[in-house]
Amino acid sequence: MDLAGFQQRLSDQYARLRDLRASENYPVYAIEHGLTAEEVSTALSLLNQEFRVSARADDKSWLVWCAASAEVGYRYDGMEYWDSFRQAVPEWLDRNRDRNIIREFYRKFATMYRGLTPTGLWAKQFPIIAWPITQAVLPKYLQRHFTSHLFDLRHLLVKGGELTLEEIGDLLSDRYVGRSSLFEGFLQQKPLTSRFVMALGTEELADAVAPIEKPVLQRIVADIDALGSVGRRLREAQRVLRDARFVNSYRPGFVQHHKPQGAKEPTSERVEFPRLVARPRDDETWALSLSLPDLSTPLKNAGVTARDMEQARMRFRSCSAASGWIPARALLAYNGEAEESLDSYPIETINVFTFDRPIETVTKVLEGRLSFAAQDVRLLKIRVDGTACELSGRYVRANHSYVIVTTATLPETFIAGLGLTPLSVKAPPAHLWRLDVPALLDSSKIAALASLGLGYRLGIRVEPVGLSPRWNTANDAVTFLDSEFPLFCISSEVSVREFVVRLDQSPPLRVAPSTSGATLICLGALPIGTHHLSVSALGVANGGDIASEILSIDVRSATPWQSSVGEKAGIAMKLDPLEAAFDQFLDRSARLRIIAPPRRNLDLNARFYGLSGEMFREEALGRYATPINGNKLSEAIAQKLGSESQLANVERAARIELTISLDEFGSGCVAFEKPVEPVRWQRLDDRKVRLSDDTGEDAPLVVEKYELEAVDVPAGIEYGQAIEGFELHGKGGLLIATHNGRPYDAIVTATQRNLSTFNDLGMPAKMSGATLHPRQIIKTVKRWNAARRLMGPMAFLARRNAIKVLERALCAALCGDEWVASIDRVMAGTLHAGKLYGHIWESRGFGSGLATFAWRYEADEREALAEFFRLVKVYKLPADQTQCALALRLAFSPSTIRSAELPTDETLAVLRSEPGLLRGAYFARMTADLRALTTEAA
Amino acid sequence: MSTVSVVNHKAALASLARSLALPDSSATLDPASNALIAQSLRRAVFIATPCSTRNARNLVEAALAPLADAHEGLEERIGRVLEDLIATGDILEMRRENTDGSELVLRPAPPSFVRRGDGTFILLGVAGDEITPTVDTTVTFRSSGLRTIIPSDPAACSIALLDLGLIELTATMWMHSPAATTASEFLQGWLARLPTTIHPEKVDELEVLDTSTPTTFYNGRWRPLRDNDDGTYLARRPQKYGARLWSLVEVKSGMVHRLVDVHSKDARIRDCDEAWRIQAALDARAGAPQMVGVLRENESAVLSFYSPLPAWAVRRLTMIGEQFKPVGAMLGFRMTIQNVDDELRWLEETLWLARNDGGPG
Repeated sequence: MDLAGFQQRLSDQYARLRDLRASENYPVYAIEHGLTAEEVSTALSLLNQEFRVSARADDKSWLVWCAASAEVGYRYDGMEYWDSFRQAVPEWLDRNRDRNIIREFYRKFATMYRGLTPTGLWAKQFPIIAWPITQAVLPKYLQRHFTSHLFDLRHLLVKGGELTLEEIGDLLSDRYVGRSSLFEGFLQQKPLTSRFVMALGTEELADAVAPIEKPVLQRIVADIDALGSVGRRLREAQRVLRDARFVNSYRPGFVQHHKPQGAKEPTSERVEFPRLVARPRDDETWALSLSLPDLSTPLKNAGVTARDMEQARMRFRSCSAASGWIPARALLAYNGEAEESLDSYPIETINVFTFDRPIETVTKVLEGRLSFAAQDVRLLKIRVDGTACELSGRYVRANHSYVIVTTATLPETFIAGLGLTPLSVKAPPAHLWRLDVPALLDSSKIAALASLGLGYRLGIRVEPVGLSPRWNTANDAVTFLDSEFPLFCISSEVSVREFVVRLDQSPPLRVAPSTSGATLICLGALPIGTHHLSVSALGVANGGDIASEILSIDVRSATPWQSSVGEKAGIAMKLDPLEAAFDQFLDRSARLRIIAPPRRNLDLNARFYGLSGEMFREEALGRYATPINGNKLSEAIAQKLGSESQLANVERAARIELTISLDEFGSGCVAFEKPVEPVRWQRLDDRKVRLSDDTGEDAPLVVEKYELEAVDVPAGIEYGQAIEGFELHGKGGLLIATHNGRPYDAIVTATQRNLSTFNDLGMPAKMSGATLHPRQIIKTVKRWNAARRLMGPMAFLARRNAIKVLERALCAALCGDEWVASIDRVMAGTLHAGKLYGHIWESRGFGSGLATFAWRYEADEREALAEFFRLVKVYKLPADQTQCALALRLAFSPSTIRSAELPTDETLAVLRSEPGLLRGAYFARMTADLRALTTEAA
Repeated sequence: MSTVSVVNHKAALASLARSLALPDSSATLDPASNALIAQSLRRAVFIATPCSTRNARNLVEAALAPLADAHEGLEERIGRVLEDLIATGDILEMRRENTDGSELVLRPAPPSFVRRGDGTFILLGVAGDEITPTVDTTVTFRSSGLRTIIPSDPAACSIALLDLGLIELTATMWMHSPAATTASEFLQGWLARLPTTIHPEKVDELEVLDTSTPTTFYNGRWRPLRDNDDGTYLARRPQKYGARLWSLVEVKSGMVHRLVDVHSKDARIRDCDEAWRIQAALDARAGAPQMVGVLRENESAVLSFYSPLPAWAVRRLTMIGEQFKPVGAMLGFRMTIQNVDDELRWLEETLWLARNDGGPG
């Protein structure tokens, strides 16, 4: 058959499918071409010949190009689509215009045959290859990911009664907690994923219109089946899915039936805010923490993604000073169950997180949820498990126990009168008091409570029974699963004629109080969402209403245990800071922390996974006796994984897992996922690199490099050369490709196969010798510091050394070469730091004061600035607080100066006119570096 | 659509059993069945972890007491079932991190399984919200609180459980039994750990286990130290935080001369397990070994114990038998008759127990 023949056959096939599916509004996929493997091979060969002759994809065979590129999309490894395409069509030139022609063919396919158009952020980022990948239905490299995800959710998909295709798509997408960016992008194709699930569940139904052609489905199932245990998981998921009732909500004329209230996951229409929680550490001492509300859901609902927070960092405001900055994307991990411990009690209204730069999209969405309002007195109720949680209401009830938190101590007479027991807490200036309310309170005690702004109430009690309650400390609601049957015991502290029970908007149920024991009510299984149980009563004494008690109930579906049991068993590996990338770990700017029972032996392993989710290598990293020093362990692992022997594994891996395991305790894991970005750098061999560009842009990207031999001066690289690949010069350097103002960067080092001198082992960085303006140096430091990908041996060292020489050059530009030389001598131990006091400022006390303070600028900038400014005032340097802040930032962390806040010429001139301030700041930095060296040596 | 209904105890227990994914037959707080209490404890510990034993007990008692016809004994039963869950490894007892190490907390074990010699499986751990992992084969909830599965194809079942993510614990790893030794050798090892110097002192609130009392009433053997006491005793004393400490004391004229806290060198053996073994050795040395009642009935036999058994002994007997609460004894195991003699021999070699043929009493 020639290409015209193939074109006609495909046209017939796709038209048949389009017409067959019209009534159901199912799309057609290019992979449903109906060709045999031999025919596909022939078609590819013919396309190759056609391209050789015409040097372009011809319109006449456009459907064959669609089918062929979908075939490539089905088979490729997930990394470089166009490399795979060129293997299939060797004459393919892979120019931007060639790629664009393929996109045009697919657009035409979507219009003429109702082909599915890719959507979502992923489709925007990969605007061309999104087409052939989506048209392949479920490409091979996503099959493991999809099967595991479906297996985890299989019971959820069937137990909620009938599910519309829209709901299936949402469920699959919303429930994904992994971090494979490729799979996440695939799950955004909800019309596709939902129809595929439906096809799997209805495979055996003969009379229905199939959403996907049977041979295509069978091919995918057979490929998954060949993956061993993954195949077993698919069969099990299919078995469960046969019980599912699918509703095609995309069908023309579909009308949504009334769904039970609250069909969505608990969202929070109610106001949620950080609440105070107190936990007993022992019989006398209590610890305070803030329970943080769900931040992830409102962010997701507002469309805020990790990418929107990419460059920002944050930290918990009332944390111990040692806690550091963490990436702001960690906000997405706050799901309403997180608590942050307080080592000081806020007396002013605060935002619980400090951000190092404003992220308006985030702060706008989370307004209120991050604000902890100042209050002189807080009331916390002690629950059965001993935890005390802050109440919204400000009244106490008979036979309950409370913790009262005040910011000032209370008079002795008051304490005695109310029967308060003081509790010890290490969160100044908080004072804690335990209040056990008896069955009856006399008027003096009620008055005492009133003086604290607290009331006393007798009334109805609604207590969960049967199932121990899951209290959500962040919103004071009790949480049940949709498979649980909530039971409550209702009672009253005053005599009542009858209770009136109402769930949400349902008709009220009148209940006579039980004459034999507790009055029990059962709510039955509740739909997912937020519910309100209200119980009121008519009193016996006057027949009047007794104020109703309202309880908030959150109902959610069960979380698959595979993702929820980690850490619960008491063995855990954690990354500090949270969400740190693998490159940060290699860079020693992230550390592991191990929690495990003492006197046991842990096995530590590294697992390397490819893009398809298949583990291709497991390395035993040793057996360690507990307890383990996290810093030493991190250093040892970083050394092992950063070594040349692991280079190939690290670069090939899309996901790297570090796991610990200990017999009956199970295992703990830290996973690093490497996102696949539309623009990325690739090492081709020891010295050669290339750029991959999937942006689909007509205009070429701007590409430049900073070599280690001249870290301050960029050199342009021609786009075509970058795409083709080029040799690294010397030991490598920083490569940057910029698309739409966003840099895609990597620090790439060359592999030294033949070491001739000792220096070959190092990664020295040098300045070019050009005279640079301080602002230019700061910009360059920022570029080196921001590079996220580290590729090649000791790339972390290359960055460290580059930043070091740049910071040194900045110091020289601001304080002079002589000052830098003096600092070098002190650091080398050939000059005593005291000798520099006189060179800083006329009063040597300033230098002495700087030398005695323990500078921890990174950990606590506020504390550092306060001390620096204090010394500046004491020793009468002519500088205000803004200038002090800038001087410290220049000395300690120039890379964190925002582009918009780079110092102007005028500002720099003022600072340099009186060098005492800048020298003082650099002296403080030197003191901190010396202290760090001493600690390291110890 | 949910409807609110008023329910009595029976209906409430039926709803509770369904919530806990238990069969209807387990919807009872009757003393003959601990399945409901065990499942409630698993769920509560998963929610509250890390929590103290007291908190776990309180949480479940507060939830179940309003559904019980008679509250009497409920708290004690909950405590006993919790002990069993810890002994079998459903719930892990470990030191709280970031403390001085004296405070014990409970954590749910990850879902795991042990394969028994007869091809059946013991399910252990807590599968998060599901509590018991959903598996193809029916899970049997034993009245003791244990969960087992009896698969038609054990090899396939094992693969399916591993696929689900459960951890397979080998019998040796799970039981972790100590090597057989004589009572005097074992005791000698502990006596050698007593300090060499003598510091006579009164220890506040010290209680000793009186070896001279009958071994058939464990709780009645504990008493405060008396002025005329002489000898070596297993003892307990309170500490500021956490459970009372176990120790071995040498006493003269009511004064503690030497004392050593009981901590096993093996981190997997709990202090109480080691202490109970020490007492078994002390009883054996005194010529009044602890007893195991043996009652043989056709194809099965019942072993009854009057003192607590270390977790490793409970696990070993669980591998071949079914635990239950016998009348007049602390705990019992029912097993097939052909296993009995091997187990009795093992109990003689590790805990130096003497047989009392004819059952409890």
